[in-house]
Amino acid sequence: MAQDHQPDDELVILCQKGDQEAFRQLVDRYAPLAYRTAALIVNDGPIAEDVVQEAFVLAWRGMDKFKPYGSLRAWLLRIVVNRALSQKRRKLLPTVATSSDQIAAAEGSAVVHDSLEQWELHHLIRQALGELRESYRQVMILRYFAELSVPEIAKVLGWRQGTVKSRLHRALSELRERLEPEVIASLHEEYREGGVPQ
Amino acid sequence: MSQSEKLSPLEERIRLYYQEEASRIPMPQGLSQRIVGKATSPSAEKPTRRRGFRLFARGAIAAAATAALLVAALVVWANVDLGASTVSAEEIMQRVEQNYQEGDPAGDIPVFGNAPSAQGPVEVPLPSYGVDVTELVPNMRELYRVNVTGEETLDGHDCYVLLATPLGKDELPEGLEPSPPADQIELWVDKETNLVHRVLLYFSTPEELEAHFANMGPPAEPAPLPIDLPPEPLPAPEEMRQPEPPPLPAPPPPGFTITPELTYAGLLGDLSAVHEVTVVREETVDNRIHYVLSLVLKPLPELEGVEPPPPPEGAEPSPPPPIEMEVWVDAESSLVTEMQFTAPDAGGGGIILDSGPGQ
Repeated sequence: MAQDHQPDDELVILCQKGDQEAFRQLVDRYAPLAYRTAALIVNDGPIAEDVVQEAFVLAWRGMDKFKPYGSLRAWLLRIVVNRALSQKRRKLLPTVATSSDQIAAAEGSAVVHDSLEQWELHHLIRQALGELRESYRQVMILRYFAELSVPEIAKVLGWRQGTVKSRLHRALSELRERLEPEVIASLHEEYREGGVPQ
Repeated sequence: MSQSEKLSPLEERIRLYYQEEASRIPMPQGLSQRIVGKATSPSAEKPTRRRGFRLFARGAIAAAATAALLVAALVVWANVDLGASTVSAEEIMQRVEQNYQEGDPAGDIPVFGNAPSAQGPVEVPLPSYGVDVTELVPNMRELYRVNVTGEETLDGHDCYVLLATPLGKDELPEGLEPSPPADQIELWVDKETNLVHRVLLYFSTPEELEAHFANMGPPAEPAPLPIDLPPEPLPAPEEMRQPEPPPLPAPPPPGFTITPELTYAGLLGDLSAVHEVTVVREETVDNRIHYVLSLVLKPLPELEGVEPPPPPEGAEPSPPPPIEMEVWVDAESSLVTEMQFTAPDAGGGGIILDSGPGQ
């Protein structure tokens, strides 16, 4: 019987034996990450929800294929990202990044920023990220939002590790070029003064 | 990403940006329950014997189709001179991908689409759009089977010619569905520089071709009409194509009703009626991004080609008031979904169009 805070690999073994409670725990644990990752890729709340539902159904059905020594988080995200990209291609969703504001606005959530400077910085970064090509945005989302390692991203996106590294590098270089030099300087200043505000 | 991993200030800021963005995306109520319910419902159970049989049958059909393709490929191969090509398609694709990653030469190259018709293939030049090789090649490697079909000299460049055909559903990585950009892709790759000199996209129907290029354009940033929105962004329904759209009707009086025909063919189809157009903002309506255009129409007498009525006795002659309106255009499909008259003379009313043209 599955218990709270049970490690992933134990829950996976239980799932493989058909334990629905263990699966529920995995869903509770990973659905928020999966949903937000999908939302950042497809820029659409309802489509992201469909993506996550389908991905978890696939995961449940394919749990036998999962190897306990791999990362469950990366495996689940691989399915989510593949589904999200399929949906994006099929539904001809815009390739430019929109923002969480649209999803939040659709859900009636307020958007609050600490200060005008923070809002401006946030807006500038959003704009710069939105101008990146799709493959660069994918790798940025997985690296800095899902916080996956390079080998994990390589597995999720089906790329070689060298490709992941070079795309990350180029994405960051492009961001540096797109952001004003003053913005970069202020980030360094902020960093020296004790890090980015949390 | 481990806690001890040292991030640059920019990376740290991006991480924070995504945290902020994600925190604003609320989790849909009851999503976890719905997922568990859907996954464990009897209809979504793990493969049963019957489903197993269906899978087996599907596999058998796929195997038969693959065998037929192999035979066809052998027949083609026998007629194509491959003697000079010792490089595998995968190797060429890797070189192209690497080349475009490192040097990123010429992101966009001209692309042509072939729309087969009853009379035979028709090459449709689409010079206003391009294809981004850095996106196309990884897409091809993921969703297509690529073969070297030969070698050709194109504009003095010795090229490999690659032909890509979409993978079947069973051959795709887990979770991916077959939704390739085109039915077939043909690529001319420079043997020396690994640059792509030509791309041919094959579509089985003209509609697919049109949908594909509708997806590629228009540019991300909205620009004023009439430059950016093509006169007919989506194929209009038959009844609107034949006969030709009627001439522009006069702007409606107070209490008017707007029909989709008037909206599309009458207003946006004939831009001679529009005196001034500006994109004033973007709005999300029904979860879709819209450009809100402010339109100033020519005054009514000018539109009808008649002299303005004489002013009342004793009054100063004044120019007739322009008609102003706001129009909501779906950024993706370019369909007009809502119009609102802002000038009081025009009634100040608005109308939401249930279905635009082409739907």
